[in-house]
Amino acid sequence: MRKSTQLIVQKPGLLTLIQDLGRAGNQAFGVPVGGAMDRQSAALANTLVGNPLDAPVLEMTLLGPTFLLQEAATIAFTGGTIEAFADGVPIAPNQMHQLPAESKLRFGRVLKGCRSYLAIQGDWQVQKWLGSGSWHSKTTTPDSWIRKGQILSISSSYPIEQSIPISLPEMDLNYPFRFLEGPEYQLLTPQQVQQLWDTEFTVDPVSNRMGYRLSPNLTMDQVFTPMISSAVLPGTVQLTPSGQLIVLMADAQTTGGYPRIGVIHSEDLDRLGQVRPGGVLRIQPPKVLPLQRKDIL
Amino acid sequence: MRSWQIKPFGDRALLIRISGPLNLEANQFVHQLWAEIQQLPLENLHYGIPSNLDLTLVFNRPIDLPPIRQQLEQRIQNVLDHPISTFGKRLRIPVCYDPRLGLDLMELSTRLQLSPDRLIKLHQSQAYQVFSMGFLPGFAYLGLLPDALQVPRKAAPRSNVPKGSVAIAAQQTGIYPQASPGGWHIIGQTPVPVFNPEWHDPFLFAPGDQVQFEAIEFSSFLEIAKQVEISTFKWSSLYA
Repeated sequence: MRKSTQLIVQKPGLLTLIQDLGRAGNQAFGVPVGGAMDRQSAALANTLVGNPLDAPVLEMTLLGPTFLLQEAATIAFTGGTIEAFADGVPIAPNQMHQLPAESKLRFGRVLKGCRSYLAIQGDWQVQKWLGSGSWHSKTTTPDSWIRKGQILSISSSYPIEQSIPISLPEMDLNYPFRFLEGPEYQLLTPQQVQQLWDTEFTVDPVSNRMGYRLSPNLTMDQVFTPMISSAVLPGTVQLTPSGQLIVLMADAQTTGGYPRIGVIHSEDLDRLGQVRPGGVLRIQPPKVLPLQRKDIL
Repeated sequence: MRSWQIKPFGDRALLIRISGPLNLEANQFVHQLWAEIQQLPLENLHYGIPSNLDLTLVFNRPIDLPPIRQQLEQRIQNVLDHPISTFGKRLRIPVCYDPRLGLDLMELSTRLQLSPDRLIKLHQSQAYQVFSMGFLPGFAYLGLLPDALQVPRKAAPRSNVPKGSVAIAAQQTGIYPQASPGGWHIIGQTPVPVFNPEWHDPFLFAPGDQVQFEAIEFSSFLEIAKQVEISTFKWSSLYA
């Protein structure tokens, strides 16, 4: 049995957020679902350290944080390929690591993908809102956006000795994302549908956890009559009047007024969460064969 | 008789849409159906989003539409055949329409060719229904506005709309639950918080509620704001 561990944040990284599997259930009141952008990777990290699948993890974006461990800790990290060092020695992803007290745990750049997930064994002392510690806002989840000097407290109640390292199929971000017809798909002209399949889209640098804006725009030959606003979900593909496609992601609002021409297949959303701002992607009709996956959710 | 249809919304969701036009009765159908589904949920239902003319149901795994459609058809028809005329809570919300708080009131008065007094009276001339919630947690889309008050959104959104601002755009009116950017025309402000993340139930409104606005003086605005701050505000006064 080990008592609680504490991690002192020496460097917060570019954007490091506490995430879990989100707060489904209050969307009728306008609350975004939120949660990890790559849910499978978050759940996998937790599995490797013996935590429940929906326990909090740290979502590390493009450039990771640095911690000083006050006590021994059991960790694992997954998702986008990230540089990681324990006291200067490189450590491997997708397996459990037992780190002694006073260790320095440093993450560097995310080399492939966009987001890596750090699980730490034990019960996280995080402020939850509506059942989830996932970052939402300064007023609701003030401690979930990791900042310099912050102390993360985790009380360990169920130590496990060892877990089996796993090997995952290589994450292939070049593989097209499956596009299903959305409620307003019929507004697209045949030419626009062809453009969907033929275009290599770039994810605009302004894209974030709320949504990815894609370039170039579709050619707009039509003007849509204003739509009565309706529900949107993570994965919904909206078409703006200028012809820009917006793919809504985990922190998207719950309603919107742009035509919902498509939806990215739910099994492809985790991989989409690994496409970084400035990255490219292609979309395809769902008849394209899905990638081989190892689902744990 | 209105018609309805069930449409797929990706591999894990569907939406149930009732035919237009948008009015209280059509929107009430959505809330009544959502209440009925919450009482007797469908298998693997993750969450729902009732909106103006449709109810979106999201499942926690991929769905096979035909069997769910079959389960839903009877329940939808049942709600259509037995509409409930009044639905949700009834709330009276105090609003101060003083131009110090109703930042766009004077400009809007000119634009709509209504005196400020007339505009304010029209805004209170009826109760509004919470058609849907979205944009921000706790933001209620209230409708439908009298025709004379219908105006497109502002050309350039404000970068910081104060919390509690009461605003209008298109067919609807609403209250900003927290300070945020916003493109609606601000005509007043309520001292009553409609959202507080620390409440056990953080939302004053729920979809389907009925809301009546009542004008108050600037002095009462300050008084109520003070009462809210020191926790002496009588919340029951909203439900009278």
